[in-house]
Amino acid sequence: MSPAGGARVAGAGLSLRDAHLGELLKTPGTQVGWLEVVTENLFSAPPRFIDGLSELAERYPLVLHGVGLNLGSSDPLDEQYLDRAAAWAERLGARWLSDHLCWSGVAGQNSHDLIPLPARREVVDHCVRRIEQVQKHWGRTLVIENVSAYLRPRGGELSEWEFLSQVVEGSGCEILLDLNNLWVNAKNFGFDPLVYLEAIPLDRVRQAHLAGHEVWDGIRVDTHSRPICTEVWDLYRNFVARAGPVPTAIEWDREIPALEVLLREARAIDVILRGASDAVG
Amino acid sequence: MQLAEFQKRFLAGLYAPKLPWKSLEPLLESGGRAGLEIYRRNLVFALIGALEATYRTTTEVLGQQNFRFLGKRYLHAHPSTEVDLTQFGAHFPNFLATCAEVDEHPWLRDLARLEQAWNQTARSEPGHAISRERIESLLAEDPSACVARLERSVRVLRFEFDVLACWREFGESGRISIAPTRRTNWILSCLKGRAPRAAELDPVLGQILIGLSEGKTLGQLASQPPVRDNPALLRDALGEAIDAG
Repeated sequence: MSPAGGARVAGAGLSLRDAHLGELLKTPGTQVGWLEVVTENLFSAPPRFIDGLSELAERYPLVLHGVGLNLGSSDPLDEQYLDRAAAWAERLGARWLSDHLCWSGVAGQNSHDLIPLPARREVVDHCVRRIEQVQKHWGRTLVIENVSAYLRPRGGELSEWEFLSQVVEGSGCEILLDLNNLWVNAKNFGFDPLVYLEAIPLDRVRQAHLAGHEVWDGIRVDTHSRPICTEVWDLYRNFVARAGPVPTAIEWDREIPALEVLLREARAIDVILRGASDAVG
Repeated sequence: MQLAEFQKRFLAGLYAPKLPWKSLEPLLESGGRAGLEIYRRNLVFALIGALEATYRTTTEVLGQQNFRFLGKRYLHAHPSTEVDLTQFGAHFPNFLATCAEVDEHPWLRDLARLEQAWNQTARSEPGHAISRERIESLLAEDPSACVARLERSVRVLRFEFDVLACWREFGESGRISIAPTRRTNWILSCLKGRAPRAAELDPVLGQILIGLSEGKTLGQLASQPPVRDNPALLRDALGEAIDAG
């Protein structure tokens, strides 16, 4: 396979869902700059999906985004999982693999959720060791995403931005900055998201995410079921002004709308990113 | 508290039928209870969704509310051990066998086993199609002792509800306007992938469904063999669905 002719991942991208596969295949050329594929969706995808995705990989640069690495768990890393993810990345010519700075299961059981870690120094060290292990196994730099949170484990010694920064600095990994998650946490825990942006190493941000959220009983929940809200757009503009034109994918997982709705948001992202490129140029 | 201990207690709290707040409160900052309820809600949403995706016909037969009632009990008793969410529910057919609410319908567990097999087939690479032997191996007892139950399950699996809607409309108006849906096509892809064995198991159903997937109406099917030669075949294939409806 010669994935997308070596094109680089730039501009607005789309987190691919099965609901849009057929339309993307039917439409000639490219609708967005690149595609993000959830790694675990490949593990048991029907041949129809894999065939379609392989065809898209000829046109679009792809990246893989995992939800099952279970990076912060106290269980040993799942080497079988690492091998499967690496094999798919190789097969599809994925430019990079990302996952989340969180834990999702322990003692062999899985929550299928992204649960925040206690922000303690010993946990930073734990995550650094495991990221180094993953990077050695894959021979690639891992990209880690900040997660949304609806509670905080007791005994935290570090702020969210300190925790992320120390893990990145210690392991040499890169960041997938989810602006919606940042906004959600800022509102849920009452901190200024600009302080967060000021503190993290923006030169290590390889990719960004945008998505919509809901409010359940006064808590903002990262549901990926709504358009990106005005406040998150504003935060994104602020981020791009600081970090430059970082490739940015839209995520929409529940109540998935027509592809055109996502493409409108992608076009809005491209306008913001082009503004940043012009400013740099 | 060590990370491992924190994580074990937290996860046990997510999977517990009732939130064990007293044991979790010391682990969390204030306001943690509302947040925990969100993670518990997400867990149920994800796992019940996975069960419904695998056991779609069983859900239809039981009704969604009843299915979710049993599904919740199942997930509390059988926490997920797979990274791949679509693999959740492997023990669900055996679990159904332990549910007093459905013990008058032992064929339900066979139906669930069949659906599980259909799903594995749909997700597998070409050439790994389901076999009759595989279906029989899913049954707990000697297949020869539960032929009647298997027959019932296969008949229920025929309740492709969109096909039923087609058939009803045909019966009422003599015309068909409902196209085969994705669900229909999904079952058909299984049938096509194992055509010789599908024919062995149920040639009439296979031909009718494959015909529908190719865009033929029931009227067109009725004018071609095998239905043309024996019009009762169509009603035989779908009749129980009509009666149940």
